[in-house]
Amino acid sequence: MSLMIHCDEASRLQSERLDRPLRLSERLALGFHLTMCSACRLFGRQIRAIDETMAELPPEADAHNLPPLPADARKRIEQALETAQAANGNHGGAA
Amino acid sequence: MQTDGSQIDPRHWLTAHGDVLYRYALKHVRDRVLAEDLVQDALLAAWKARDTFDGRSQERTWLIGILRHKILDYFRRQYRERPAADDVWFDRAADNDRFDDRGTWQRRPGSWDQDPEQAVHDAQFRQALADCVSLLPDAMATAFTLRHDDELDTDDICKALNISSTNLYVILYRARARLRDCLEEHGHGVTHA
Repeated sequence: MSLMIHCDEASRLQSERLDRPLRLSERLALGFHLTMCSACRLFGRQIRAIDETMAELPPEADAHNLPPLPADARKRIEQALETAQAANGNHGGAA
Repeated sequence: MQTDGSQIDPRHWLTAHGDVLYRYALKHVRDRVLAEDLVQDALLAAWKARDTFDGRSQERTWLIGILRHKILDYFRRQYRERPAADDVWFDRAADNDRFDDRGTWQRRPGSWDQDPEQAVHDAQFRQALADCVSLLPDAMATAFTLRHDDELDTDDICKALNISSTNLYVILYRARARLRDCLEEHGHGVTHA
């Protein structure tokens, strides 16, 4: 990788840095670009904040305002579980 | 403590965790019927594997773990049969507009109304980010959501989605760039000249 990269390459590398370790040549080229480019520096801080915020949300967090399990589905699943339980109950419950 | 099988009541799982499991599934698959099926599959699998629940981990964490496997299985089956073309993962034309022919920003990224480092701890920012994730195209959101599951590494994701790591990096890059734009556009961020 040449030491002179442009904003497109620099922003891509800043994203990839969040997913894999960069090679030395990439780190050098990126570092060089960032010393001169405030737009890319800002982009890098912002996407890192996005990733860190995602990491702070536990997997079951409902920041998405998603709906609850619909009543009919709940009933259906309950029946499926009862059927499975009944099939097993013949063997005396606890193994 | 070893939990006695007779004390496990799967109906209690549904009561206590049904909504959480369903929302977790929905976040990944965005299809209500499919999400319902995945929850059902997961709970039936949990019932079959109830002896492996050691009572040490939280019941909810254990159930989410099983659901996560069901979701990955679903993706694996789907993308193995029909590997997705690049344009399913990102809209090349739309994303290429970001830079001019010389690779310079067409429009410089604007500041948000607070420092990025501060935003991480801001409840409104989190909400705005979640809203923006829900606006991502399906496949892109799938990759991005899986990437932020602590239990998975990039290798797991590539296998499930049947893509190369190079491709995954591009998808994640485009997802982040779009989320950044979205946060700037939807109030979270005032563009300073």
